[in-house]
Order: sequence, then C-alpha cells, then structure tokens
Amino acid sequence: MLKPLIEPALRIDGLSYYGIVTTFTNPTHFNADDLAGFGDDFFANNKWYVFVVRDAGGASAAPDGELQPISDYTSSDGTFEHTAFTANLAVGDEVLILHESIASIIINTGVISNIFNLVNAILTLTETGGTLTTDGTVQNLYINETPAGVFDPKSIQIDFTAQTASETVVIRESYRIKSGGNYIEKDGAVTFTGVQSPKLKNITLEENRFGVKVTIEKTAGANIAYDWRVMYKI
Amino acid sequence: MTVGFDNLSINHQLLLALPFEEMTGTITHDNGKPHHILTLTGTPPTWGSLVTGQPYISFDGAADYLQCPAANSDDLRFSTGDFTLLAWLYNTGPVGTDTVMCQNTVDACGWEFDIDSTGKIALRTNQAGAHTEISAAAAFTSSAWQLVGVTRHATTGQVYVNGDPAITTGTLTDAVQCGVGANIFFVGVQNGAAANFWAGYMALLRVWERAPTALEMKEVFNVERHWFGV
Repeated sequence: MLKPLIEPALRIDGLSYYGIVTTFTNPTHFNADDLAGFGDDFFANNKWYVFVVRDAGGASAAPDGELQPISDYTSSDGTFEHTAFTANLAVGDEVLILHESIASIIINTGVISNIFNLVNAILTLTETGGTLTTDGTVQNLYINETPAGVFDPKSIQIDFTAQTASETVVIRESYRIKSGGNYIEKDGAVTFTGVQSPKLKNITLEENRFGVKVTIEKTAGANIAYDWRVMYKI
Repeated sequence: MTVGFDNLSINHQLLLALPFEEMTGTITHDNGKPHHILTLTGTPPTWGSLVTGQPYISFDGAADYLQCPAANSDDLRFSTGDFTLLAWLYNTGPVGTDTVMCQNTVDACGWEFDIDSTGKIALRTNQAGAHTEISAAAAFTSSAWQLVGVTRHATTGQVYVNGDPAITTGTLTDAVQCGVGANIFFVGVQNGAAANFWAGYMALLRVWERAPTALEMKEVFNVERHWFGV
C-alpha cells in the first residue's frame, strides 16, 4: 500500500482531515470510509471543502489539485456531497477535507493570480526618442511596426530649431488598422517650410494595435538633425 | 489608469531599456532616459516576434551585432559602483565565448557580460593587464528562453536565472574606467566587433547603475515570463 502523502499530525487537526475515496457514487458524491463517524452534517453547508491532493493513478490527472465546497455529509458511511470537479473522482484518490479558513488560502491564491494578471495588463506610460538627420528620403522618426498588442501612442514632439529658411520637410502620420495591412496615412501630409515658430511641433497620436509610424522627408534645403521624442502607453 | 515608467521602482537608475519595438529598419531606441540609439550591424540582425507578439532580435552568430557609438554611451562606463545587466536570452548553442553585451577593452578597461568559454553565464571586469570574473556554477541552458541577469555589488556579483539567484563563484575588482568617448557599447559581439558573436535571440535588454534586490529580479521575471512561455 502506498504511504500516505500527509503526515499523521496534519490529518486530523480540527481544520483538515485526510481520507481516501472508497466509493465513487456520481460526479457530486463519494464515500471515504476513514472519514465516517463525525456526525451528520459535520462537514456541510459549504463551510468545508474537499481538496484532491493526489490522483490515485499518481499521474496528477484531474481532478488532482482541485478544490470544491461540500454541501452535505452522512456520518454513517462517510458520504460527501460536493460541487462537481472538472473530472470525476476515482476510488483510491486521496483527499483533504479543509475548513474554509484553510481553503480560503487556496481560493485566494487563484484570486491573487487573477489580480496580478490584470495589473500586469495595465499600460505603462513610456517614452523614447532620439535625433534623426534628414537625407532626402522618407525616414521613420517613430515606428512600432508590429505591436505585441493594443497600445496607446500619445504624442510625438519634433524640434525644428535647426531648420533654416532653406529647408522644407514633410511629416506624415500613418497607421496599420488590420493585421498585415498597409500603412494608411492619416489627415494628409503636413509640410513645414523655412524657419518655424514655434519651433516645437506636437502631433497627437491614436490608439493602435497593428502598426504606427511617423515619417519625415526633406524636400528642400540641407540635411538637418531633428530631435524628437514620443510618449506612449504600452 | 496610468502607470508611469519611471515611477515603477524597478526602473530607478535604469540607464538602458531596449524593447525592440521598431521591428523594422536598422535602428533601435532606448526607453531609458539617456536615449541610447543602437544600430543593427553586420548581416544585419533580423527582427522577429514570438507567438505572444513579444519582439526580439535574431543574431546569426557570425557577423551580427548592435552598437551604440562610444560618444553616446559614456554613462555605461562602470567602474567602482554597482551595476546590473539583464536580458531575455536564447542561444542556439554557445561555441567558445558568446557575448551578450560589453563596453570594454579586454584586460584594460570596462566590463563584459557573456557566456564564457566554459559555457557559464559570466560577468567580467577588466583591470590593467588583468581581469576578474564571476560566473554561474551551472552551465547555460541552450535553446531555451530564459531571463539572465548579472549584478555587480561591491566586490561581489550575482548571476540570476529566471529571477532566481544562481550559485555564483568568483569576485569582481573595480573595472578600470574606459576613457571618455573611447569605447563603443556592443550587444552580441566582443569589443572590436570581430569575435565572440551571439548565436540566437535577445529581447528586453536592460542596464541599471545599481544592484536590484533578488525580490526585484523575481518580480521582473514574474511580470514578463508570459511573453516567453516560461
């Protein structure tokens, strides 16, 4: 016979009881002979939970590790009525009958995991930037070619301090709105000719999932270095 | 609800953070305040993304690397202070030394984070005509994504794998600080860009000028592991 997984001192401490399934009746009822005799309804009214601590086959098959509330208990033969597991119990499965004060730890672990997942999905306001020197071609100032998921570009700022009366540049803002789709220009190109006032230009960006870029193209004058920075939530 | 990047305690004293979000072109930008701009150099490295959408850069192990001009990476010239280097790594099989990142001249100045010639995750600091090194006791696991970090704290160092401290041997003496504007910051190749190329993938590279706690390293792993299926 297999050695019980649970040390004797832990089996009956008033908050947890160890037993082995001796009869599987149906998806919501089983018997454990060694858990008989506590008095009818001792484990009842969802104040106690049955936790499957070991699959009889030793392969951790469902419902191994699952926890369900107990609604009724018959003392004479150790019959438990419980909410169904994702798979049926089997003769030989080892179970712990846990008081709600103990079971809540397991339940809360799942809740905490869900909260962690939600917190992890909160977007973070992030920034990057650099300096780009024009070369006469259409150049990416800022691009997120294939975002991992939905994100929220906020704005891009471009410093035109270095631009003189001789230069002309064209700024374009484009989005990809479906997976693998083409970049579609938004609101048309904006041309900046000569000395600019104010020197700092701000472009508001849109939420996006499939790709965004802001480009600069010098169409006249010398190659000039433009500082830029983008703020986005990701 | 908004979370500020710099308000996250893990990002305090963060000097470099490369998310590789561009996914096209030969330039990648830094979320750290210094705004390092790295150029994809060599074949060059290629962009890729995992099934989760997480971007990474692929290195061919023969010619690919990233570099930031020496003039723009003076803030990475670590010497007497603490610092930490962290990245999600996937190596198809280290051959010799595979460099993760470095800013150094071997046995002269600076530091190097690599899988050393014995296949161990290592951090080296260079002194005049010598070097000191810490390394993991266990060999690096190839062909698997893992979060690998090395911290330098005083004369000691610590290797982290998937947020857990790894058994680490060796000590670190202060690096001789490289000269101002003298050393390029490299990713995926040894200083000089001629040897010890990285073969595989890298994602989410970060550099701090402090030593995060073990708890912080675990937190980073727990927050990011889902992107890598770990």
